[in-house]
Amino acid sequence: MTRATSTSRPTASAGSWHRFANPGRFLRISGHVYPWSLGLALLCLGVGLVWSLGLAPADYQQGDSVRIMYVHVPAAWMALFAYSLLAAAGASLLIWRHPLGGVAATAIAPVGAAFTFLALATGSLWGKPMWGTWWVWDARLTSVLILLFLYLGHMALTHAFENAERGRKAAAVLALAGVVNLPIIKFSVDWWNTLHQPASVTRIGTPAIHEAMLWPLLVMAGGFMFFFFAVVLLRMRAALAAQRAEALDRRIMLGR
Amino acid sequence: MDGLFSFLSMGGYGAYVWPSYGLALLVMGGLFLQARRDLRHSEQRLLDLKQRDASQQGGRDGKDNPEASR
Repeated sequence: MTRATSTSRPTASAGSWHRFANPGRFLRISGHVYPWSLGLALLCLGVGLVWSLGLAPADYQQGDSVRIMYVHVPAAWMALFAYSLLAAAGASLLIWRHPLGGVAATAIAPVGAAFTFLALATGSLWGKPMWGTWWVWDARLTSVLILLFLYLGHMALTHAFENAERGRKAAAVLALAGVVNLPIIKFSVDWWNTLHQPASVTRIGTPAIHEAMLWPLLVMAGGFMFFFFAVVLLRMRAALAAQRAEALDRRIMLGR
Repeated sequence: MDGLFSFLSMGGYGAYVWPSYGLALLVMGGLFLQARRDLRHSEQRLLDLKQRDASQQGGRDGKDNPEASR
């Protein structure tokens, strides 16, 4: 099927999907969503900070070092979540040529990298007093380090070509290939012997974490999630404005 | 005062707990401020270009210009 026929006769679902490709519509929707995500992020992070640093109990084995969990675990969850979105945005760019796909992926990658770095750094700060070491080359830590490199590779590839579109597509291919790393990260603690503890929240049955610690963790995770969306929306709007400015600049130059 | 000190010492783990939270604040604050600065910068540039375009178009007698009217 050629490109011309696919655009002149879109199916019903493709038609409704492509409505969101219109940057004008995206800008309108994101204008409404942004203040809510930022407000909810600040609310959740404010409540979560007081809860996790003050009200939540110390662990009977780990003492107060367990409070690192309220930053470490949400950061790690966001690192994985952001990567799934990065891959989805890449797929929408490669398969449907969705123009917002490339913009979204470019906006997501540095934010995902920052959360991955945060997960690794806080994990290190937790590992030192609990395991007696900052770092071990075990399956969980190594696969998350690879995740960080995937994000960095994505950022480098995006800007590696003179033609911006080619850069975005090459980065999208990398993002899709890297998806194989996600289940490896998730199940690494079950498949291999590791110092890292197994999942205690996302397991079948009741979580192996007391409610007094689970709730502040979920509030912090919500704060991280809303914060992520707020920043990504800002970055996408900035990229779209830059694109329009670029196009206008070219036209003014040609008009002279 | 003792309460504050015991809070800051975090049961002896203060040297690990506080850097974790400080790093999170630094990283997330940096992400947010940079994104907002980028947005302001590119929106300002777009506005400047639109004004320049409009003044150019004005000199050429009402040529159709969809970008400037947006």
